[in-house]
Amino acid sequence: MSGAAEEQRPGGEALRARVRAAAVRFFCEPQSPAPLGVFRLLMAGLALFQAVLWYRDWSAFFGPDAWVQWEISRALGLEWQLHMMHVAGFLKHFGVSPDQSATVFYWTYVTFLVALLVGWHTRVAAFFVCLSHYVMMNTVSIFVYGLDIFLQIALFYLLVMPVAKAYSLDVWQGRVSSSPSWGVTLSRRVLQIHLCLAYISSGFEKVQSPAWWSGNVIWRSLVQPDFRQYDFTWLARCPWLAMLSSWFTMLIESGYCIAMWIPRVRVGWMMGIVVLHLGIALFMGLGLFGIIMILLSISAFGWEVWNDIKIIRKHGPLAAAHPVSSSHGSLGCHQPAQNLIEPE
Amino acid sequence: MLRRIVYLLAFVHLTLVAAVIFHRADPWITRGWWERPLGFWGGVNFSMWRFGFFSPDVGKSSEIEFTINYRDGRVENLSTLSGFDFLTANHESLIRFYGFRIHTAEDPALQDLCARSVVVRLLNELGISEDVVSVDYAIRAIRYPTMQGFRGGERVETTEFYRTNFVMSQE
Repeated sequence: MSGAAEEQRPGGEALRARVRAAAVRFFCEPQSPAPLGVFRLLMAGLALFQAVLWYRDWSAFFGPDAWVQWEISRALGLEWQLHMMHVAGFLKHFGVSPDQSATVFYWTYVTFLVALLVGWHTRVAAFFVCLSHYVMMNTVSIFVYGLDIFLQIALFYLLVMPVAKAYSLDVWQGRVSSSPSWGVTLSRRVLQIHLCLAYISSGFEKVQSPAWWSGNVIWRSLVQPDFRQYDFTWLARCPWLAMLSSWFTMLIESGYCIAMWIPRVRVGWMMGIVVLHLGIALFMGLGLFGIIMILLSISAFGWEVWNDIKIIRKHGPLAAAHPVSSSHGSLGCHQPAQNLIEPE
Repeated sequence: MLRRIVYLLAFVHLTLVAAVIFHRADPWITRGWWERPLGFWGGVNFSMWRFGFFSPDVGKSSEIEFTINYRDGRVENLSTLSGFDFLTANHESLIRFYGFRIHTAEDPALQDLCARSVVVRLLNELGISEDVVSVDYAIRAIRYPTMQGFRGGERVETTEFYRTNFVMSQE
C-alpha cells in the first residue's frame, strides 16, 4: 500500500505543480490594463448619465424636505452612517443652507464623476465618487434598488483597482504607467469572480422557488402595476411562454459562473445575458438596472468574448478551441498561448 | 510583501461575498465586535449582499392613494394606479417608489412618518396647502393570481393595509 503511494507521489506532485502554475498564471500573469480602462469608462459614464436623470428630481429625493425628509431617512440608518445631513452640517460652517448644500453636493458629485470618466487624478476622483454615492444611498435608503447596489460595488472597485492605467488623462500626462501588471490581472479576476457569485446567488435562489419553475414570477412581474409596461395579460393563455422565459432566466443565471470561463460558449452566454437584461429593461421598465448588468458583464468578460468572436470569425464556429491562456480567463488550460490582448 | 497582502485582502473579500451568498456567515456575522466594522465594509462595497432578485417570488404590488379634501368641498383623488407619478421627471425616479412602498410596509411607525412626510411634500409641490382641509392617505396591496387562476376567472386581490388622515390646521 505504502509502496503504491510512493509510486504515485511523483505524479501527484507534478499535478500539484501544474495546478499551482495554472493558478499563478490565472491570478498573477500581467495583463493589459485596457479592460479595466473600459470598465472605468462604462461605469463612470453610466453614473454620469444617472446623475443627469437625477437633476430635475434631486431636491425631491435628496433635499432636506424631500419625499422622505432628512430627519426620517437619517433615523433609518445607523448612527455612524454618513448622510446628507452630515454634509449640510459641515457646509453650514461656510454659510451654506441645507437646501444649497444638497445642490453643492450634486455638482461636486458630477464634477468628480467627470474627472473619473476622463481619468484625471483618477484615484482621488474615484474616492470622492464612491464616498458621495455611499452618502446618497444612505440618504435615500428607502428608495434604493438593485441598480444602486451594483453601482456602489462598481464604484468601490473603481476606487481600489488600477483603472487609471488605460484610456485616461493620468496616462497621457505621465502620472500613471500603462504597463501590464499583476494588479490588473488580480482586479479583473476579482471582478469576474464577484459577478459569477452574484449570478450564481441569483440563479440558486430562483431554482429553489416553485413559482420560478411554473413561470408565475415572470407572469406577475409583467402584469402587476409596479413594473407593467405593456398589457401582458394574454400571457395567461400561453403559460408555456412564461415558463420558457423563466427557465431561460434560471439557466443563464445559474450557468453563468461556468459558461463564462469556457471559450466560445461564453459568446452565447454573453448574448443570453444581453437578451435577459434587455428584456428586464424593456418589459419591466428597469432600464438603468438592465444596462448596468450588461455593462458589468462586458467589463468583466467582454475582452475574452471579443477575442472569441475574432477567432470564430477567422476560423469558424467549429474551429478547435484556441489554446487559451489564463490571460483569456479560462480555467484548466496549461499550454502557453499567444496573448491576443495587446498592451497599450 | 505588499503583493501578498493585496492578494490576501482580495481572497478575504471574495470569501466574505461567497459566505454571505451561500448563507454560511449567518450564524456569526452579526454577533460580535466585528458587527460594526463589517457593517461599514458591507455598506461601502455591498460584499454582504444576497442577489436573489425576485426570489422566491416577485411579491405583492401596491397602490398609494391620496384623497385631498378642499375647503370649497371639492375632493380630488390621486392614485398610483391611475397614473399619479409623484411628480417625478422620469421613469427612473418613479421606479424608486416601488422600493418605498415595500420598505415602508415593514413597520407601522415608519409608515406614519413617511406618510406625513410624503403628504407635506405633495401639498407643497402642488401649492395647495392653504386650500386643503384634510388628506387621506391609503396603501393597498395588490396580488395577482397565478396564470392558471387568472384563466379560471380568479380576481386580482386588493387589500388595504394602511390608512391615515391628516387634518390641516384652521389658523
